[in-house]
Amino acid sequence: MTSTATYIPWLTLLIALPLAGTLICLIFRRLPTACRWWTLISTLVVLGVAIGLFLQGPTIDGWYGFEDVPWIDRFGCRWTLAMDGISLLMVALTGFLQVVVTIISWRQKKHTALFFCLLLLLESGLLGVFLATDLILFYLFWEMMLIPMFFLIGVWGHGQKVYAAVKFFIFTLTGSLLMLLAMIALYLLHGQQTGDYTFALEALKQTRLGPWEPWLYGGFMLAFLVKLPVVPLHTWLPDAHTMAPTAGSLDLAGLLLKTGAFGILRFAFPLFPTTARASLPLLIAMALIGMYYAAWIAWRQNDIKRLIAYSSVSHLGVVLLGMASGNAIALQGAILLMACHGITTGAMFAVISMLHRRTGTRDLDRLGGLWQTTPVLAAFFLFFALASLGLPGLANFSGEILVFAGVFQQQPLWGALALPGMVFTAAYILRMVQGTLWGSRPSCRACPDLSWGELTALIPLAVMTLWLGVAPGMFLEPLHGPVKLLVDSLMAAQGGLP
Amino acid sequence: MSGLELYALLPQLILLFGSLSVLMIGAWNPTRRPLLLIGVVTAATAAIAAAFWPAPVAEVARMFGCGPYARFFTVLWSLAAGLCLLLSLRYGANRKFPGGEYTSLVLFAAAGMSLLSSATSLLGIFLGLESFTLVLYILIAIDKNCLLGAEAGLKYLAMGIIATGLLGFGIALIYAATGTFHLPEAMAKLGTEQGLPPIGLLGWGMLLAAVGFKVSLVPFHLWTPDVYQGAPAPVTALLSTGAKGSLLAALILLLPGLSTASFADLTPVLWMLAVVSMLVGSLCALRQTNFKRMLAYSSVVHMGYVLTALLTGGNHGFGAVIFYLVVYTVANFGAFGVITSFALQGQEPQEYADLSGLGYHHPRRSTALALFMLSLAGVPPTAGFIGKFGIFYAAVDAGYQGLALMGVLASLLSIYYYLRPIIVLFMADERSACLHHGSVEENGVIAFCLAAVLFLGLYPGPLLDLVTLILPG
Repeated sequence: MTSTATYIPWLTLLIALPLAGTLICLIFRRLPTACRWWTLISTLVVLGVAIGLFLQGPTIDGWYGFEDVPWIDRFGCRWTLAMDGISLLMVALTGFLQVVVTIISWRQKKHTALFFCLLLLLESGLLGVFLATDLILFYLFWEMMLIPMFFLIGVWGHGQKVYAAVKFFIFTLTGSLLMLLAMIALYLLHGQQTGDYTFALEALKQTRLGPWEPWLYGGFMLAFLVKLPVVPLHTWLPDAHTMAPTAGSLDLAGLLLKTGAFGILRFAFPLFPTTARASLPLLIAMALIGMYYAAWIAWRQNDIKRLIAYSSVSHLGVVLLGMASGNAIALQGAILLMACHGITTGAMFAVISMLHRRTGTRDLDRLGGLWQTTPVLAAFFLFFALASLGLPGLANFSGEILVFAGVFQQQPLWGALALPGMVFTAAYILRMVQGTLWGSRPSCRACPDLSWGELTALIPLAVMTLWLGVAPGMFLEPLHGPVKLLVDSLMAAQGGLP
Repeated sequence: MSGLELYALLPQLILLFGSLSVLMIGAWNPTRRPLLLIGVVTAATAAIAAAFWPAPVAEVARMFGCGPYARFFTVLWSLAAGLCLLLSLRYGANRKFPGGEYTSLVLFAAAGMSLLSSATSLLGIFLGLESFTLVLYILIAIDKNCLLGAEAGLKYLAMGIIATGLLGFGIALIYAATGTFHLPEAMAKLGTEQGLPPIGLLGWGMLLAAVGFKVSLVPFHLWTPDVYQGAPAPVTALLSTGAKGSLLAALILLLPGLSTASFADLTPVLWMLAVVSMLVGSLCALRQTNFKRMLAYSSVVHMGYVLTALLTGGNHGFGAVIFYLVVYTVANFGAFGVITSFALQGQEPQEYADLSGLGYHHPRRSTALALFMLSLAGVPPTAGFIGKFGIFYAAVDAGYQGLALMGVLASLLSIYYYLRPIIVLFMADERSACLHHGSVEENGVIAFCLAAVLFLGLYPGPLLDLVTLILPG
């Protein structure tokens, strides 16, 4: 890995720009409109830079960008940012969703400036997580995401918002503190072996871990699996998603969950290939349990926001399945599905909030007949719901089909066990659609259809849903290299659980 | 004592002479504000003197060191005294503190703390410790109209006297065993190849009990919440940082003198104290609804962390202690500063209920308070994270994985009680708050602490290097 000769530190700028926006929003907090515009502009620029980096293409060794500056010498921490194909996709997703979130929250009235300031801080943290390859730097950003999200849920949420916010904070922090311990242990082991005390990912990959490996892997995985989330660790998610404001739910489902999966791919698997390899069956089992269990719970929900929250858990089960199958195609599918899920589920949360604003309820028993009263909203609702269900030609399908194709290649049994899960998904989605759009009880007699502002937010989401569904090749291309590397290193590792 | 030695004690002398002159001026011209400002200037001068005029000799009278280590802490405690006085400008006026006495005592306390941190003899430790503890008894109860303050002062006095007794006895025993007060020597002579002899063990036991009282380790912590609650907020800030930190700084000089076997004898005790402090402190803090009492229990937990690092020893451990002390001091001063600046007519908003919904009436100070809480909790990007990281790192490095795990558990519990004030500030229903908007000096202190917390969190390199440089040995 050599540093590319770019003189403009684009990656640092990517992180710094939202951070600067945060400060500007704080300074001009008496001018809400200025804050809105500034947020929109910063998010657009981030998206622009991501697209620019994509168009510019990777260097020969597969990096879209690499920056490395000393940071804390005494501990050997460095400000190292690197962007490979996977992080590029995630950064682009972050940029895109944040633009949508800004548009959706445009009419946020309560403490407007603070709201946008936190959105930008969150974006900065997310970008940092997707880019950092120094473990401590990664940890810094990983925790930095927590604070804005805590406030977004706690201040602007609904219902038991404080409960949900604290639960979210404590669950995530439990995992990450154990990860911190594992990081320190890894750092010390590496230092004792080589005399080079460093937190650089590339260097730490070479560490011989011996009997420590399962413990350290466990520490890392716990943090990521809480965030993902897998089933026994998922209980924070329904509360957080349901109580959060629309922007918060969108960011949670679209981006924060992805950081868990991304962490596994970037840190847990490459650092501990032997244990990771051995743990794959366990992960697949967790993925399957998660898929079915969450789908079952989603089927029983009456609150459609909560239903979609559980559907997230179920979808992320598919993602985990793809990651744990040890197959390049499935892994690519899983990463693509992360992006697809981000967009479709984000869109679902957006549509549901628009629905809620009109009808005042999210209860399936009290909704119905929307197709007659607000046809455009209903059409979008149906579109995103079908995408979420995995209808061919729309976003989720392309990811899911790759995951299943890969899993069948590797382990037909797992694939056969997983596939009926799609029927479950279809069941709860169709129940939701049926209960919301049709039926004889129009829940509002004269509510207005979508406004132009709402359309501006939904149309990009719809376009991306279609694009990802019809022509995912463009998004898959940057993934080939890193995925091959990852799968090769994973499958080359030998060994079993102790 | 030669002239050179006097010159070497210049910063402490500045503090002492400043203290005395303020007292004298105050007797004839008791206008509060100028007196406090003179105190601030004196503290700043002492800090500058300590930082920029290196001492010509290494040690004064075989009692106090004047090396970089001593000077570092002199700067720290002088600055702490300065911040304390700045915070007291409006607060003291509202509560009608006697300006001369108050300023003089705070400066004297700073001198005592600085002497304690630089002690190289057991007598020096005793002298330093007693000189500022005596002052603190008065400072805590300086508001004659405040019942809680009087109670707190009395409590601190009662506990303090026991601690003094234990300390004196401990020192006497160690002296009896070794025949010297001088530190590295006394500690080296104390142990044998097989470890500490009974008399040495007894001496150390008394010493540790005294330390336990002063820095409030469980089970010697019972005075802490009441004293924190009753003392005026600026004094609490000084008490919670300088009074504890200076003693820990002295311990860093004590411990390395011990032989490995002797240190091994003390390890179980220190280990136990650290674990119990972290655990009990956390559990008690969870239940508090009073901000200052919560910080009192949280300080117990913090002392547990510091003890963990102290136990691991070596450059990493001691470096982590010093860094942590700085970070803890800054964050604590910030937190108490915010409470002081909210105080109206001397009434501090101590209960969480008093703080509810303030986040939107006083957004800047509330945000600052939230960041101080996060720093105490050790959440990045604040300085607390780097401090805690250093401690866990030292603990794992030295093979104390159990303590590190305990620390992680305590941090986890701590999140809840540090989040509570934040929740109350920002997520409670708004109310019409009529608290003070904060004077310039108070806002300045808060801004300074906030800048330090963020700077040390994002770019701790310089301070970490400095800490490595000043470590003795």
